[in-house]
Amino acid sequence: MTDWFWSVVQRSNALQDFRQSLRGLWNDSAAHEINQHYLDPHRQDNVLMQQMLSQLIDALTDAEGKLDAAEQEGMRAERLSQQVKEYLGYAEHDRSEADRDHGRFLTFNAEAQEELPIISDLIETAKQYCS
Amino acid sequence: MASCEKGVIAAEQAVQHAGKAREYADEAYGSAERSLQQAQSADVMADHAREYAEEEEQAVEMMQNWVQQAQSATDLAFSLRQAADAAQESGQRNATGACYDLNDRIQLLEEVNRADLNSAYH
Repeated sequence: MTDWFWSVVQRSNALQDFRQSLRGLWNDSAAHEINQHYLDPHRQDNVLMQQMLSQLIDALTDAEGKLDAAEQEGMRAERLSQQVKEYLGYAEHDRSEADRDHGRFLTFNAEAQEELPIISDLIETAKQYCS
Repeated sequence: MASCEKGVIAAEQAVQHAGKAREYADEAYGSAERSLQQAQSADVMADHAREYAEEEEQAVEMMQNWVQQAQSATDLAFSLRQAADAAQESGQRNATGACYDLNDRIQLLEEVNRADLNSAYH
């Protein structure tokens, strides 16, 4: 883009230099009329076009830089998302283990509870026979 | 069997069952402790995940912000391109006009020249 713009500026300057070189050689009424009606407005259009193109290049460069920054943030978000997924996996694993151990606790606790009335009955039996 | 012996046997069985109950209780206690540790570890992991999720959310917001700014710059570039095109078209019309004007003048000069030559011959 900048090479292309540089080429446009060079050709425009060449045209204006050529007009300048003709100024002393071609200075009749026709020259005044054509310059006034066409070539001077053409030069103004050219200046305006170059200004617009220069600002256009700046705007596109700016947009490109901002898109690069957006891409960087997107990649950072992607990495963080992977870490979230990884730690959620760890948490899920630990929760699953906690559930499993809780289940074992319930089983053993129930079995211990089942023994208590048997023990009480046996103690009562022993008391009856030995009192 | 004497009645007291039956009582002793019952007491011994009670002791055996008490031993089993103790073993079950120990296992239950160990399992509960491990369950608690795993639950605490899961909590820590979930906290890490939450922190990363908050950072991710910020990164997404920043990305959206950059995209919006890039969009604004692109919109500006589009407007500038339209203005440049308009200036280029105007310049092209002026250049074409200059060429036609010059061409007309050259033709006129040729005709005048030809007429002068004809009158000189005749």
